[in-house]
Amino acid sequence: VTVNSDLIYDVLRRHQPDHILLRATRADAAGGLTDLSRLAAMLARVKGRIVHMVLSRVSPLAVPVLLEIGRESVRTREGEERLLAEAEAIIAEATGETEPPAAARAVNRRGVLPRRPVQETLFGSLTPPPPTPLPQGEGGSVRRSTWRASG
Amino acid sequence: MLDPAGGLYWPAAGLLAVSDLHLEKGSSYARRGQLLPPWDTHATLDRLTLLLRRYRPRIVVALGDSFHDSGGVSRLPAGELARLGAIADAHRFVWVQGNHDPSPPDGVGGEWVEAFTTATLVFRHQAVLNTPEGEISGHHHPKTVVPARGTTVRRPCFVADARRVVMPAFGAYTGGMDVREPAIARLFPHGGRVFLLGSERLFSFTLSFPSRTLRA
Repeated sequence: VTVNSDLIYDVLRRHQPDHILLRATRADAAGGLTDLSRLAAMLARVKGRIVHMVLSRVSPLAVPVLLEIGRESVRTREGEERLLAEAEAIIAEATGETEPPAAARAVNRRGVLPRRPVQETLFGSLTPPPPTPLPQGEGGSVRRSTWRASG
Repeated sequence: MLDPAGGLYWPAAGLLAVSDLHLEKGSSYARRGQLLPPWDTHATLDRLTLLLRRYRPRIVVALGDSFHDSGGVSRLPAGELARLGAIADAHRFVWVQGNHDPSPPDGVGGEWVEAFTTATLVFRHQAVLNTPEGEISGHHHPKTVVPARGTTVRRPCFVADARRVVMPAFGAYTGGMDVREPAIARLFPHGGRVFLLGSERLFSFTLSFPSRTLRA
């Protein structure tokens, strides 16, 4: 059959949200991707006994979890469109259809960013990148540690 | 003017074109034992209604394969038949013949043509290789893949050059064919542009084919 299952899913979700296929899909997702019942039991167990603290730095126990961020991703239509917009902008800039952002033009003209020593390499600059807020989407923390290792 | 919902609007003529509605594809498969949910016609007409409200066209052109098979009209639920009839009566409605629907839909208004020709443009179901400039067609259900951040995004798209536009399929259950497939690529020997459908806007990329694709 040449019918995309996404299309059926969309149509059913709109017109017959209690359809058996959708219920089966939800049950699959709850058991297969994340063990929802175990998670629910854990939440029920700790309910009322959670202490929330904002730490001044990353706690050692949090490191494994932070490094996992971005390992699995759920694709959404909005996320896909951000990717498309980014790809479109990159290509348009490279082919001269649009002008690059102002900061990039400054580097181009003078070879340096204003008031900041920069050593250009084949792979970009060696100035420390501005601290990226964590966690922001796919692999932000991983990229940062990679830079430290090479720079 | 290309709409991100998959329609083409020509302001000067007040003309809205949609292609490959494939109405009643769900019930067509169901009759052959492939049980698909039957809401596809409803979903497709909902989206068509949105376009009609947005552009208020005088002429509506359905570019062929409007019904998935020739019995499609008779299987339309009464409510959908009435809705389609009302749409066909409220505009100058032109059904262009397609390979899935070689005969006119019974009991729905509108004109039935092999191809709809205006002074400058011709609207036909399947593109013709050597055509004078200004051809609007459907049939191929073009889709394309854009690489981004280590993954890819696949979407239905318009394909266009100075000579022609191939429209994406408008129907709810319609799949697609990659624009690099020879059937589509050979229509654009000098490349062109693709316009991927998005929620709010189109995403546009240039399209060029390595020559071996064209020879295949």
